[in-house]
Amino acid sequence: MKTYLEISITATPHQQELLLPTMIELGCQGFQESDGELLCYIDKSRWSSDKYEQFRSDLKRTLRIISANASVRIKEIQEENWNVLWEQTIQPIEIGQKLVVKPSWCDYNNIENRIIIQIDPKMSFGTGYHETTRLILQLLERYVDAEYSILDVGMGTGILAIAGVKLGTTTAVGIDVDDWSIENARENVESNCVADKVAIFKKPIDELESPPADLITANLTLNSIIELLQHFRSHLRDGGLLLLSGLLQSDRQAMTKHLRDHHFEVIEQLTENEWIALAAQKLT
Amino acid sequence: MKKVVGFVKLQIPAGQANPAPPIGPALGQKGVNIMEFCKQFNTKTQDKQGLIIPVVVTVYSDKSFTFITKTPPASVLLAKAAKVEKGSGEPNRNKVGKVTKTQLREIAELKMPDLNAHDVDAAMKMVAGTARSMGILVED
Repeated sequence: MKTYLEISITATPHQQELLLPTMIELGCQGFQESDGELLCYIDKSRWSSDKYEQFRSDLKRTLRIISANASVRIKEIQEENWNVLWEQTIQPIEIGQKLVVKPSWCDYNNIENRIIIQIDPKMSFGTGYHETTRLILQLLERYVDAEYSILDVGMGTGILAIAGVKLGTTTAVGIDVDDWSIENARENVESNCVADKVAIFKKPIDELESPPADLITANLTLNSIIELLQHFRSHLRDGGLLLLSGLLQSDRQAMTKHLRDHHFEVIEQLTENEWIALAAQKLT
Repeated sequence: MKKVVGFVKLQIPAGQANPAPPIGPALGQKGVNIMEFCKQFNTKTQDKQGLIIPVVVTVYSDKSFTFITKTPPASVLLAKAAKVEKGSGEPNRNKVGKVTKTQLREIAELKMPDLNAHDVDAAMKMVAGTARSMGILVED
């Protein structure tokens, strides 16, 4: 579990603006404006006594300008599952023709005999509540084949790898670089009884050594997909399928161009609200 | 119409939202799906990598949310333009860097949507005020 430091400084909005560059330089990664205070956050492992001394001296100078009366408090925050409240609100959600995603604590009356994917998301992405997940699950449902091996890049809760296996593929490999996601994906893979078919690795795709997959899934963002396209290509067999999500309708033109440049042909697009998902085939 | 139950004002790096503080605790205690916020924020700010983006999240009674992003703080833009990491501790006496009028205008134009200014000249005066407070000189 990580520990973070919350540094709270009393300051007006104008004063807060002047403080920001100093706090960014000290390594703070995010800020919250709250009741006349600027709350600054930093991973404790990036903090040190040297930094503390620099902070005190920088802040003393900055505070002299902004307000002699400003007060500073520092407290530690332990990492926890901050999504607990939201998790209590989630209900089973039917996706496509065959799937339903539900948390372990909810019952589902399975009258249509759907494939149940059990996901307790904690702080990982991929619950079926977001358009991007629903869209790529629908593509997966259409294109998956019993002979296929799947590679899921940025697996989050593990929902796509689990769905792939439950839809009939032989094996799936899921990778992520986030500790929460790896831990959560392992729990979900276990609870769906597919641990023997889903391999999970905490590593980026460029460090992955595995035979070319038949199908790659990636629910990321335009920029990260573009960066990874060359690796998708090298980890996919000729004629293999690339299913992409996390894209806005406004991303379509740029995404299609980059896919073409990397010798992929878009074969289908699904749309929900402002989001799209694409299925593309690797050309030889 | 859904009832608004609160606002959360955050400043986070573009395209880098994750469940770490402030996002996790701030949105989690209001019952918002943290990861959905991160996904949407990262997608919509990915073209502004390297900048801190202020964002105001409106939370509704059904735990749903909307958010609006604002332009990066003038102080951060000025520090970047002047190639300094932070402002001066004694801005009247010690100048830490300088920006050109053209750079000031660019920042003012970028900041226009969030400034209470009638025109770019008025916005430039406001940004110049921030530059003065940081010990950054504005050159002609």
